[in-house]
Amino acid sequence: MSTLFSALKVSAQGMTAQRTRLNVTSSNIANIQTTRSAEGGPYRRQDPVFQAVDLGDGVSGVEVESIESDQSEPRKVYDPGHPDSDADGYVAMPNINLVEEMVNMITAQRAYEANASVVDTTKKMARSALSIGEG
Amino acid sequence: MVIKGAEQVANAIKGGFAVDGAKDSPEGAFAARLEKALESTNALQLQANDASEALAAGAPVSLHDTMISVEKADISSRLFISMTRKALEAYKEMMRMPI
Repeated sequence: MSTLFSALKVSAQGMTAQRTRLNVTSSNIANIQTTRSAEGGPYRRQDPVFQAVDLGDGVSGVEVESIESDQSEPRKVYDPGHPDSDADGYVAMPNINLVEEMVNMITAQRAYEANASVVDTTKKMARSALSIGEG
Repeated sequence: MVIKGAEQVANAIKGGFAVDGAKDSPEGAFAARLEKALESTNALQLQANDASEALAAGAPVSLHDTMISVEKADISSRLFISMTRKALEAYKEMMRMPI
């Protein structure tokens, strides 16, 4: 029973990881024009880093090891009227590409669905094994 | 001769169903195994209940984790029901044996 349950555990971890990725993507999209953040400066794009977790018997789960901030230079936009513009009239805007974030979102959704279908298949295999005992 | 054969069969059944640290009678050994299976099924059912309640109350429990624990409890209880049914059928079969 434990091998069946470890398959379910792996899929659950996968789904959790994809949920985290979706949350991070949604916060990137929401903050696409945020010029003030807690660390000072504009919002920096967040990216989750996944790590494989060894569960024994050659089975690997996944966990979110950390959420990294993008370290590249922020995008400079000329807007002297903006409250956060510097001496030259440039505002530092977050370096977030909407198209890239949408693609990440779709990828996360497909991966989540794939993990859900693994759970479904595991459940069907268990049912068919149990049906050996019936009849 | 026939009586001795029946005793050997009874010893074979006793050996087959023996569990470490189980009671001496063959019924006790099998009951101990069944009880262990029931305990694990019950534990999974309780986990599934707790997870569903936490989700309904709005705790930060993820939806897929709750559904997966419900599914585990379902598989475990189906297995247990199947085992009990087989045990009962085996018992009935043995009682039908002519003495």
